[in-house]
Amino acid sequence: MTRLAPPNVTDVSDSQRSRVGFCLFGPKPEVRHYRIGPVPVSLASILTGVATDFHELYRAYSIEEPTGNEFAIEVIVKRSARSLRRYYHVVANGERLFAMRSENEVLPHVEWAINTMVATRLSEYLQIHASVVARDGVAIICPGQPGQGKTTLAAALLSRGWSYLSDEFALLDPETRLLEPYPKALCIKAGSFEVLRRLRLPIDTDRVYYKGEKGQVTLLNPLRIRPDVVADRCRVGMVVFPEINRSTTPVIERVSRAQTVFELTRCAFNFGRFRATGFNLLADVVERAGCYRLRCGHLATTCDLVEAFFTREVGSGV
Amino acid sequence: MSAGSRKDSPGDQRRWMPIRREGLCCRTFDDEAVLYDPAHHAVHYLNRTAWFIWNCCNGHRDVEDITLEVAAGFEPNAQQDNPLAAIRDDVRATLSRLTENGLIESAP
Repeated sequence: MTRLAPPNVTDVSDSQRSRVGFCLFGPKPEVRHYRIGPVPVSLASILTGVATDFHELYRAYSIEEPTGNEFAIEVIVKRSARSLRRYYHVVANGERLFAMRSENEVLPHVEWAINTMVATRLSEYLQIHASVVARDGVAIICPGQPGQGKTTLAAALLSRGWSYLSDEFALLDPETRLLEPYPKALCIKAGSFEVLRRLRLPIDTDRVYYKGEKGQVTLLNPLRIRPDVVADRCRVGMVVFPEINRSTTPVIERVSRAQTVFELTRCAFNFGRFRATGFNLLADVVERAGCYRLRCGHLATTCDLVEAFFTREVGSGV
Repeated sequence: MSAGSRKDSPGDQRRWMPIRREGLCCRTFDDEAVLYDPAHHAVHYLNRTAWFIWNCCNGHRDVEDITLEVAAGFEPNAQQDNPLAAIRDDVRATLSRLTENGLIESAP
């Protein structure tokens, strides 16, 4: 799979551009190793700025030695033989996943490459495309397609003291039926910058990247919200399907458990691997969870509503 | 669904006696269900009515029997001139969809 990004759509200020180093003929890039929750990653980037930014996001998960089964991500540069233009390539375990023209597209595509590797290689968990936050050891998973507000809702709840598991993957352990945290950086779209800054989240608008159809994004290190923000393994207490709503008034309504299981199977990246086991796993999880559809509105009011229903379902003193 | 004798065909629904397909994983929640079909790796959601009708498919009931079961089990729509005819249409439509999705078949 090779994806060429639109060539003329990046909007990078000079100050941002100058942060991205480039060493086409320099020494071989340093390889750094990380273990982000259950996800082992190594990164070798010819763009030193990408390596530096990545390390700033994941410094807490840095490890000295490779684990042996890690997802090996490389950023390389090649010139087009025809146009002589430089293209940056993101390579995962030897396979070129993305090609792009602009330096500031690279880091979000490194993240995307890791996500692709997680979805295709981290086979021990049933993976649901969802953001996940928790309180008092009980999680809410918010499954859905891109653009439904999963990450924005998760970030807003983190600003109110919730703990973080992931903004992209609910990793269900089939043995324990618990969710495993995968505390990747939150990928925040430009449309949410201001509303999340108003919640006093450390949105760094000096580091804005371009990510294909998502447009401008920034990456939020969850540990900058609170050092203890990452949750332990926890059970699912609620499933909430978020939807974008044109009204400012949020609406939450119950969804039947049967329908929830059905929709979760459609949001599971690797349901095909688990088949009947995955079906029963989801049914078991949903059997003990409150299931809702949430039409998001004004963000603080939406969070109030989610917390009220969480308290009702789980009995936690939110 | 295999085509064959008239009894095997859902086209002649007066005589057709459907039966739930074996080998499906079924989980019920309140009065709804979700089914997993391992042979086709497909998941199906059945609402209250579809679940009721699917349960009626025991190989000994035809469309008319199932229509009467549904009429007895559900509140009729008072706005319909002929509620039984409306239920019969719904039952036929549901059986047709259950057949299309491989969730019922003809009784042996």
